[in-house]
Amino acid sequence: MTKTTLNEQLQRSGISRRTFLKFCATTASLLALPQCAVAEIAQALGSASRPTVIWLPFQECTGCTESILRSHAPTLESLIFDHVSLDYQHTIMAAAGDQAEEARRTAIKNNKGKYLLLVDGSVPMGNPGYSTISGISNVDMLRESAAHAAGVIAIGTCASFGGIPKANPNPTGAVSVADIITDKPIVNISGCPPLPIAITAVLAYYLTFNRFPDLDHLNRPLAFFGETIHDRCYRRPFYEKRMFAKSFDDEGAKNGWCLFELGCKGPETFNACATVKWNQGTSFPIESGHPCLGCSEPDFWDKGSFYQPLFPWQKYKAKPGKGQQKHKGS
Amino acid sequence: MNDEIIFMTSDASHTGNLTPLVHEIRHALFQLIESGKESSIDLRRLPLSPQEEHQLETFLGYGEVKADIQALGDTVLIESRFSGVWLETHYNQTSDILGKYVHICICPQLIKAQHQDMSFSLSQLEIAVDALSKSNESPDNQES
Repeated sequence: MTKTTLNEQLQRSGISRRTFLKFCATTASLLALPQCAVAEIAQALGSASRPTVIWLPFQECTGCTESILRSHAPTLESLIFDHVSLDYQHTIMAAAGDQAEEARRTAIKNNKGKYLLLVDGSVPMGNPGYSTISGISNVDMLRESAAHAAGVIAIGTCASFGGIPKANPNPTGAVSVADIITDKPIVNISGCPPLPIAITAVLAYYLTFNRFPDLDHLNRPLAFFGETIHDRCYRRPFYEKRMFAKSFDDEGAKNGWCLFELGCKGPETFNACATVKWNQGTSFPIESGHPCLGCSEPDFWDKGSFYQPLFPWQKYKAKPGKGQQKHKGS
Repeated sequence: MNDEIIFMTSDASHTGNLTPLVHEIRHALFQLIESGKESSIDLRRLPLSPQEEHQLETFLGYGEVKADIQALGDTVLIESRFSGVWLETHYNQTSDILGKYVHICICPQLIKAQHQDMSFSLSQLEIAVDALSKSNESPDNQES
């Protein structure tokens, strides 16, 4: 059976070509691609057939799923999610137990080497019984599902780095996806939760160019993790002028000064919250008056108090700049 | 120690990128006239302060054409006072800016009717014309 292309699907949904071009222009911008790439994205994406996606939720709080599903509908980013064939997502699918597992195995069998595997949540290695789905341990399900995947996208800090389940004393022996799967291209879209547009943009990039975008040394897409929160923070001028809030209710806090001395982890946190923002672009934590927790970085839960400064600010030597590029897209 | 501290020497409201940007626009317009080559500049990728962005918009000004496009949120296209230089702003459904571009071209792509939409429109038009024709042919509408 011929799979529907995105163009056909959009037309059926009453989405105009102009809307699609707008999505392509916005996606190109988010991925730091030149505007001349918009036509290429539109052409490739429009003619791409519906890809099969298998989404495995393991040791997680469902925040990552909420992040993508709770966005207003229809949004530009939902164009892509509406298009993929999400054949398995244990949390939201109607089927359960054996029926659901049958759907997952059928999707794998029918799309060997072509489907994308999305994973949120960490994997407990201490005892397989700590987290199971239909009697299958997380690690077994991950290995089985990844074996024939074209690539793996780890969604959220738990899947990317172990996250909160891995926090001391790590009672379940939690590990990240990349600790188990070592022979597949893996993209980590960290964050607790991650920015939904980052997930969509990576999917759009993959469908367009048939590979993942350029990644940093932690396998995160550089387009979203190439700069720190501090680099793009609107409170940065206050940092440079040494104007810091000292408590949550002092004059500095009321006047929107820098939150560094209240423990802001922005200078060491690579993510795009300060530019993409949350809740349909409403704000991000610092804009709401709270320091960045550094949730997109490994072991963020174990780095001491959220409310202790990273270091005496005079010691801050890191220049505003780019994240380390590890390799070109794979 | 002071030598370990990095200070931002310039005013935070002034990145110094505005002047090179308008030169780039001038060069792109020259290219458009000479060779027909169209260009686009993604303002979101440039470090411009809000003040500089406002200065740019004031500098470009308003020309003869303004188009509002409703496509999952508004898109506003304005031809600047410099013919061939367009400012395009994409908004989402809650009026947040998704992207802002300067296009140096004869007519931005989004203004043009899209072939795919036209094909769909043709089928819709045929149905509408057919319905209208049948309605006019019905005895109730015939003049006695």
